[in-house]
Amino acid sequence: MMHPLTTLSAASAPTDPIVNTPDSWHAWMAIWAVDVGIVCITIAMLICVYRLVRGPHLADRALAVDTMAIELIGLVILLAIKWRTTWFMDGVLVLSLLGFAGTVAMAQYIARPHLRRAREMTLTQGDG
Amino acid sequence: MIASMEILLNILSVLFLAFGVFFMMVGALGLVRMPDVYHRMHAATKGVTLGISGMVLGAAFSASHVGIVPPYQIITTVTLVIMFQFVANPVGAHMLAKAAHLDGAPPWEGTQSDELREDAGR
Repeated sequence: MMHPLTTLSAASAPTDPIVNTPDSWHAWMAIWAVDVGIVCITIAMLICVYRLVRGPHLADRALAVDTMAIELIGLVILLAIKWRTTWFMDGVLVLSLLGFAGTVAMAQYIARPHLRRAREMTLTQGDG
Repeated sequence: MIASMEILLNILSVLFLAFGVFFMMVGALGLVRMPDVYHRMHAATKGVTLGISGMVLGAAFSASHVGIVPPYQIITTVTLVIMFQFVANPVGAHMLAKAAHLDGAPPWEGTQSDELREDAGR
């Protein structure tokens, strides 16, 4: 069964999931490392969920979301290795941009009332 | 591809992946174990930046022997991701720390000095 998109670019289309019977010890090692990595990254994301739920300050939650975004990038990379495709690498770039934009937006959201108050104080003092 | 080359690329890939996953887990652990916002920001941002660099390098070594793309394509993407992460993560953490300090997030009770607060005269 061919993937329907293989007609577009046969060179970079995803093949079947990685063969379950590798013929050498180093191929076994690579597959094993990817599987263990997926489990470890998932555990790390669950730890970040703990901080996201419990974090006392809003910046804690924003930081947990930022860390989870980058760990999601790691998970996508591991899946790209597991399925032997490079189609996900552009998605990795987009995800890193989105994570950074989210962090900056949260920082502005937290700091904006204080910045506005400081600007009003400067205006009333007349030396701004 | 030569068999020994394949062995070398597999081993390099596994080593970089293990490096990256280890530092990812260290970053997530620091996010839980550290006492206040600023410590958490320090641990999580550093660990995760190093971890994502290692994992992306591992993906590059793994994909370059499978033969699905020419190696320069994935190396270009990997370089872009690493450079962007090394720029974006410290900038984001600095903005978040400044915002948390403006919002009055309480520092750890063992904090010795708070020079930003002294400079602001608060």
